[in-house]
Amino acid sequence: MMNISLGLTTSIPIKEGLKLALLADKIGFKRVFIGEDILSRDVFVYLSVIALETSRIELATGITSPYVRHIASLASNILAIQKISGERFTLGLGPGGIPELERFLGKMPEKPILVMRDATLVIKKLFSGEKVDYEGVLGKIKGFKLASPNPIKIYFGVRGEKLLKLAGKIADGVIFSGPKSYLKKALKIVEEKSSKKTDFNKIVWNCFLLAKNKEELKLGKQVAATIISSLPEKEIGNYPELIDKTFKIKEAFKKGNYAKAEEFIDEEILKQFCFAGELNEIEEEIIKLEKEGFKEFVVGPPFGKKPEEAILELRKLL
Amino acid sequence: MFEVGINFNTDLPINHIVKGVNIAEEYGYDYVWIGESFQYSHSIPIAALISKVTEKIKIGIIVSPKIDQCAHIVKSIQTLREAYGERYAVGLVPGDALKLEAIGLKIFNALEEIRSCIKNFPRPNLRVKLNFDGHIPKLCKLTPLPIYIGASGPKMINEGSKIADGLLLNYINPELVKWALEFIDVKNCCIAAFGPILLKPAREELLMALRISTAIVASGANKSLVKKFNIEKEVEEIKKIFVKGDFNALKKYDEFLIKKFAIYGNIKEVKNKIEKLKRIGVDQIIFGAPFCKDLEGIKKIGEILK
Repeated sequence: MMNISLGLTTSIPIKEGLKLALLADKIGFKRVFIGEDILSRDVFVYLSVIALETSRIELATGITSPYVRHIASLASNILAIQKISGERFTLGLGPGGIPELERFLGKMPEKPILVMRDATLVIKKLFSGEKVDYEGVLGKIKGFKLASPNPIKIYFGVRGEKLLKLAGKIADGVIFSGPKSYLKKALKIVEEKSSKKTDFNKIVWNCFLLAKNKEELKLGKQVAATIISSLPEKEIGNYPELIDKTFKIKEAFKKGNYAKAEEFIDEEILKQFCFAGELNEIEEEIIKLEKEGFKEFVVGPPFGKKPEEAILELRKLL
Repeated sequence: MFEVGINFNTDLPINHIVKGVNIAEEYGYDYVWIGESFQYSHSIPIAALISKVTEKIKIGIIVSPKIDQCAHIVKSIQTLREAYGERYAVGLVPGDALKLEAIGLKIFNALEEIRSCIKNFPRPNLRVKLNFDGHIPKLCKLTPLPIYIGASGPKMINEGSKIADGLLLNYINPELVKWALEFIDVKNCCIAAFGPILLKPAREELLMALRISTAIVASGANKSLVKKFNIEKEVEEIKKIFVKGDFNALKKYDEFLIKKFAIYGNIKEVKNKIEKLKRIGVDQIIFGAPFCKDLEGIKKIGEILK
């Protein structure tokens, strides 16, 4: 049976997020992912708060970006979460949303493949207790070692072909997101490189919306716009039916005009980017994903008109 | 009001930190400070842990803007405040030069980095509130989020006192603290004296920890201080031994290290030193490592605080 997990982002007020995480813990969700909105709350404090209030549910970033912290600071934060959560933590790593990164860094992030590769290898080494000597895109490290770490799993949250291939090679799992018609193709790319890894995790996290009518479906617009804004331009070219609107959405997002971006989200786009509808419809989609080879399904924002009720409803699928 | 703080470094096991901070809170310590050292757990998630297991003790978080981007420091503290309320202080420090070098970072203008970091904190301009009722309140008491700067040299002490609410002086010996205080222009800046403390008698393991802690302070001692107190020769030799990691060889400097850079004594002696620090104008004493390793010691000092 497909694992069901909760997805939150740091733009959700911490008390609200905690309430949902406690509920997910109680009803048997596998994991809670926290996506770092880099212009909002700190993801490691957010995770700490949830770790300290729960004892069973697994925890992960979903994702944090290697561009926004020095690698030693990232490692030190992971070490802290490992310890305070009793080893329940998995690192979700991805370049992050380009528009937010550009605003945070004041420039376009460069060399994402090298940055992701090196960050993964350095973190893996540090967490297997090795002393690290490194010189490359992340800077220079000489004889740096963490004190009593435990090995860590790293899931990539990536979309482009090259990054998916890299994930298959060096990561322990992938958090897939994007148009539904793309998910299967992305899975194939990863599986070509990861076929020998039996415990390689394949996770799907798109917008999730338990909705009873068309009006409620509109709640998914904002999340769909956020996902679209971070799609690689090369990838958009593969979906002629979406191409025009997608570029308009990206442009509006880049300018920080989120309301405008949402205006371009129609039913067709919502269908592509959201698991939305009544519970039985969503269940069918989950079964289909499982048949395709996905192992974990993330229930993320906007959830539904009443997020807690939507999560409780999902008990029926566990 | 004079305050007493205790420092916990994140190299300690989680359950020891939890026990220690609970004792500190129960025995009336005002502050728990969490040290910054990036080969161990990051101080900020550990601050969340301490917030969860305590109720009222104030939590000082020591971070270096050299390694953590200031934007992260600010939003981390904001996230903590959202989750656990208003009981934090921030200690911005330049960081340990040798350790920073190992991760490819160099300290070249720590003061400027800290100055620009402070500007990132959303806070009112406290300086305009200085003169009311003919009384000049301490800066760290005027804000729910006091910002301290780690300082050991004349320039950092002087400039730091102008831009922060408090200073974390890297000295605990009243003679050295007195020297440091001469460089302060802003008299209502809060002064915290921070250094290695240990209660006598101590077991060998703690004595070794005291040796290492004091050697760290001595190795990083400011040049002006070293010159002023005529301790160049000893400090150079200690530095060399320290780099080699031959901590047993430090034994022959025990007397020097303890006298200059630590408080090591029985309860009465420690109490006298605290009184001395109070008299020369210190607002907070921070019991630095290895004191945090001695849970019984935390209780004994707590008793005299009560």
